Amino acid sequence: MSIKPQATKHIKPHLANAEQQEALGFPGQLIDNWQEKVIDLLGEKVNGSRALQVAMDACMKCGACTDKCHYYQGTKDPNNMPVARQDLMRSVYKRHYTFTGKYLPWLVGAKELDADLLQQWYTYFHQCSQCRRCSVYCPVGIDTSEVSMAGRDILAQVGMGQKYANQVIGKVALKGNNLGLPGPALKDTLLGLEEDVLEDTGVAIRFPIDEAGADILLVTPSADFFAEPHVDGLIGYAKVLHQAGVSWTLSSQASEAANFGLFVGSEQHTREMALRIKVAAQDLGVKRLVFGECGHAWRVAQNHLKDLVQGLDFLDARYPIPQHIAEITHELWQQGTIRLDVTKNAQRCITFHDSCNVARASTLGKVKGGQYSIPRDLLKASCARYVEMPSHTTQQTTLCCGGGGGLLTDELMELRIKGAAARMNAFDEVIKQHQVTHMVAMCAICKSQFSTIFPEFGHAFDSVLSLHQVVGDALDLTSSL
Amino acid sequence: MSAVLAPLLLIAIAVCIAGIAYRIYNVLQAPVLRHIAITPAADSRWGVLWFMLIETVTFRTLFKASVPTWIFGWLFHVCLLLTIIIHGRFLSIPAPTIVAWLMPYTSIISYGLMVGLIGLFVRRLVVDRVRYISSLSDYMHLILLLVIAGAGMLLSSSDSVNVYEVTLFVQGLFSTQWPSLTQNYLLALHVLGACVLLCVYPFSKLFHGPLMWFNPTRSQPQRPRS
Ligand code: SF4
Ligand code: SF4
Repeated sequence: MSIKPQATKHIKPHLANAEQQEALGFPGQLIDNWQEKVIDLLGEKVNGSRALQVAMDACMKCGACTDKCHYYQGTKDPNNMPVARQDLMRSVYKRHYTFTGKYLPWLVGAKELDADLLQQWYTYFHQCSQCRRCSVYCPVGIDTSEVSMAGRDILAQVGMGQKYANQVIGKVALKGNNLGLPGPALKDTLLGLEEDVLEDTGVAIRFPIDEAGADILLVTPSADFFAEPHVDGLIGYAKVLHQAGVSWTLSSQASEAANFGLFVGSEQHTREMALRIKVAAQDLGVKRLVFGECGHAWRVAQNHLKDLVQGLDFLDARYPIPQHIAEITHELWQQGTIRLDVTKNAQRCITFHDSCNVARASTLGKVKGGQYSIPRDLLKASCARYVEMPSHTTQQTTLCCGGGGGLLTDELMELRIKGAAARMNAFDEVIKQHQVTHMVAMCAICKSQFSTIFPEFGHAFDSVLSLHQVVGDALDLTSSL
Repeated sequence: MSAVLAPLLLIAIAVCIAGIAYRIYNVLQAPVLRHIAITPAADSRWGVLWFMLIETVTFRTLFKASVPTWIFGWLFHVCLLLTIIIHGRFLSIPAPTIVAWLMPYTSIISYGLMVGLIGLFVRRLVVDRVRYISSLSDYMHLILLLVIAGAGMLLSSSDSVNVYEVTLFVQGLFSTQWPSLTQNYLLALHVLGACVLLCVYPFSKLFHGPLMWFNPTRSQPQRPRS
């Protein structure tokens, strides 16, 4: 299939308004000397980051990545080929920071940054979910997410921030979570959950919040408090922790695991958002820090937390800092502390969608590739019928759900649907061959995205399940161990 | 002829070495901001080193991504390496052992080199995705290599060069008195092309090989779970 230039030129997220920009310390509108400023910032960024410098300099235009991005696959817009996305930045970088670009721009594809190119930056750096699938296929390992992150940060700094991400970051600063849920509402929701679970299972399972002295602080994406199927995942965590007899708590101050600072490429906001979690852990006097099912939150937690916030040594060093809920569940299951019963999921035939930030940017457990084997072990122990999607769409080469990287906003729906098409093809294949009924995910964004776009592809919105929903359903709550 | 070629060659070699040093200095001074290894990765320095060596020798990632590109790309790189080694024949008479061992295969290696280059060139023209991302320099790099290789092939298949004379020239290159070379336009073209290549190499995309070794997505061990 041939390329369709400009196919998605019209799709772009809403710009942040002056208020949303200024709340984060950015200029309220496009500044007058944007051209000069963008070029300066670009130079600083490239000199200040080895990954970005290599991305700008090492691409040999081999084309290996060109058909690997799910947005390219779904839109055929050549600017969604990872190398072309980088070229939007690289052409300006060459023009101003390389010898050949300065003197022979026509030879090396160097370009002056004009208003049109600036718009293309805004458009196509927001058509990248920063999933890094392209990087897996690039012979020199160029990371396009570094490019789109840097690009977005530069844009925000000259006045072109993205409304959705800015709003989310603002809400976290104010209310502690992406949704802006205030503490009292959160407590109500959790009480409601306790009642529901008691009714369903006959077991009194607690959903503690702000309980000082608990062993574990569980930080989870705020969608887990109210969205489907996320909340069923939260119920699953609570069941597991209840069954294991561990004391745990949520925090109203750090009621959000997600960190949109990463998506907008802002070191400062990523740090501030991570810092809330440390403060909450200290205030509550917990010993362990555990993250719920959220892909990029886990990426930030596992890879960056210790660099972003110093002094986490008040936590118990006998446990990894931080831990993922799936690691804990897996260990409890291996030790026999919890029991899983496949018959409880007999009505389901499931497949698993690896989330990009867990699959390619993080690890789970002590075994290499644990990020793949841990969820699969748990699913196979919870459901007799488990099927894999085609191998080029799973594990390290998994496809993005189409809504990651700060693109989970309504005005990008066309892009989100087209970007999900590749995953939907893989899903359709296993449905046809094995009568798969559900897709399981362990990332809040994946779950939200799939439950929204599934109907577009003829699937029920609730055919996506949380990992801990399947585990929680299979969990034997009667056994006293 | 050596009065022209020798100084140009010396300058090109100097530019190349200085350029490589500059580029490596430049990439090393840029800090690695975060852990961004593509996982699963090795969790130790040695593991990473092994992974990078395998990658460098086999182009495994490219194989995963596109088999045709891998065939032409890998063929080209391997044949280029062998061709460079074969040029060691001009270091001494008789030729160094490893070179002597390779010399019978010279023509097949140079055909491999040409096939690789032409394959890459055709792919760049024919596949619309790759054509879209190509700028003039991407074609020029291939043309430059084709010119150097083409001239070299003609030289080695004809008897127009005197191996003894060229060997003396190479041995005397770093002296103050450059041994003379018989007028030969093909040889001049070959050497001038190589001079351009030496100068372009460190400052262009051709430097991708060394840069890969500094790319944090590849060269960082994954963050240990402790
Ligand atoms: S990081 Fe993902 S979304 Fe971005 S260009 Fe690469 S494959 Fe596409
Ligand atoms: S795979 Fe890497 S080197 Fe090749 S074109 Fe894409 S970004 Fe450039």
